[in-house]
Amino acid sequence: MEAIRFEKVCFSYQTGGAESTDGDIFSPDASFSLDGIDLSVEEGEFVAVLGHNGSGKSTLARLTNGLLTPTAGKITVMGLDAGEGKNLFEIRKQVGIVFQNPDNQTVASIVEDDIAFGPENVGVPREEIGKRIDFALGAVGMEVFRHSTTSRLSGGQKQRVAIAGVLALKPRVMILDESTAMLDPRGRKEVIEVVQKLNKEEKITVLLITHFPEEALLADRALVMHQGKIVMEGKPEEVLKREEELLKCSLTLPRPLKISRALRKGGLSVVDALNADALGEEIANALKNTPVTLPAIWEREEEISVAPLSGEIGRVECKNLSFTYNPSSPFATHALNGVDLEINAGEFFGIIGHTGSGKSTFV
Amino acid sequence: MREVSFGQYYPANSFVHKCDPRTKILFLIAYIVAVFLAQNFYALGACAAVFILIAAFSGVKISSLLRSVKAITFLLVFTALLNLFFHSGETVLVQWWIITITQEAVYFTIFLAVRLFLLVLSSAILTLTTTPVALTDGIESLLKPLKWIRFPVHELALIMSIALRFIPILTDETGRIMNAQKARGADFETGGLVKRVKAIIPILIPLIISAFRRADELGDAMDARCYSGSKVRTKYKKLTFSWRDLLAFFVVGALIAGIVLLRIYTAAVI
Repeated sequence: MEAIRFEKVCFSYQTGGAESTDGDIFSPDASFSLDGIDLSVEEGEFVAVLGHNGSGKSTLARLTNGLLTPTAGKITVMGLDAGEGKNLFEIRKQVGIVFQNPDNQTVASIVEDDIAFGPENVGVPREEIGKRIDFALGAVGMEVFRHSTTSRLSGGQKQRVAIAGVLALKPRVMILDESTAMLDPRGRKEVIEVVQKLNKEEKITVLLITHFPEEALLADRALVMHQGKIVMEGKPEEVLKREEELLKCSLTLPRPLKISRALRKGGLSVVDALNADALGEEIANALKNTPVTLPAIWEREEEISVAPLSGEIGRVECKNLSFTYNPSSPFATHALNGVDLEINAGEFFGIIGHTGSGKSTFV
Repeated sequence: MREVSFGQYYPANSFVHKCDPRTKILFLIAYIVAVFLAQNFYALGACAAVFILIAAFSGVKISSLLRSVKAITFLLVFTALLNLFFHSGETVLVQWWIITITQEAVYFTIFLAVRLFLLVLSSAILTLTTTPVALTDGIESLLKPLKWIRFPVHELALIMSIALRFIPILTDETGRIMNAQKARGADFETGGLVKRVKAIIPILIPLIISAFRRADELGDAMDARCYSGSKVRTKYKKLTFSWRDLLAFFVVGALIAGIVLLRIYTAAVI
């Protein structure tokens, strides 16, 4: 069965008022956010929608869920016409959206209360809500956080709670509207793994809207949107190799692919690799067959390390630096613990660490 | 950033935590009435004893409790000084220039300070032991009779819980905006009142804009999760009274009865 069907759908944010021109500031073609979209998504399918900012991908998500109604054309979701006001409630039960900012989509302060919000809205009996919370938290692997405060979770955890909140409505379609855009690599991985699992195990149709080409690789099908139109469509592995077309849509190749192509240009015989593991294998194989000559950059190491500027001006020096948030409260957090560091003037200093490691506190 | 603000929930599993939020709200109201009915140090002592009892059973650290008083230290000291110097009385203790301190004023000042302390601390216990959700659930349940006059009880409760939820987020955001502006040389700490107020405007405007943006997104998220007002809504958390609540009502009932009796049979300080 078809889960989502778009027929010649157009949408414009400038309704009626011809004088309104504020849309034009952002894009040269702002009159239509969606321009004649035809789309069909089968039940159980995992579709990735790629596009740069303003390409119309979020509009697509909002239309599917009835948050917006099309200016022209017809949208059918799980056999229901999304243009009809009376269908909206039913459609929203079937189609869940996870938005970008985890902070702006949690309604309650406690995880389980937030997940209960959806089922409460549709009038699910109390005992059943309890079961649904168990199910939703289990599905996203957040059982232990049931009674936690949402504002103290990490970004990835918050987003998993948001997914659980949507799951508690038992939807058949789940739309992730750039839900990983604000997360760190670990959080992004957590969320994507949950989504993949839901698609495989619960057979939930997934529409993953993203601007990370790497994420699109996990989908069955990839769409690329540009200026309100679907410009590319096909298997993600194939779509993501079409460099020139992607560039036209202000998108880039997945990084491993970029590297493998750069290596090939440099004379190494590597085949296009789409993920880091495959790339590593390719390079290893290629190096076995080719005599290794280190790229020139490594030999210039001496020049790169700039001699430290003399004098004390602009020098940052820390000795045994410690910092604790909320001292003497139950939430006391030791952010920094005896950091010794010297940064000389004129240095370009990089600080790397995962979220919560204390990088920002240091700054 | 991430400063624990006044009266934020202190997670624990104590007797007071387990009480029904409605009980706690009603208890607090009754307690406040009792504190105002108290006329002398015996009655106030009874109030303080009840407070110590509750604090002991709340599992909240004394330091967290005292932090909630910190916010009103200035008010406390200011009113205390005013009372000390200007409350009239007969037994003069100190007389110097235009300042006269009488024994009555000293008593009165101590009395008012203790009263204020008890009021703030008992309210703090309510917010420290009750999650914002439970609190709004309790208020919603208590206000239910108002539905008869078409008062939007559910909507009001939802607005309150969302407002409470966004406090930590907006606090973080304020910190972020301030840091961003400090990093570019803004100065919030020096200068006169006018200058400082002026320095706050560039914080306020981005904060308000972001709050509106957040509200917009939250509205969409709520719509997407089928929110349609209170018509078909069910509630997951059901509030139930237990023996604990009965005990609490007994304690506060006894307190009020005791204070009324003291009012009748003992002399007043004020």
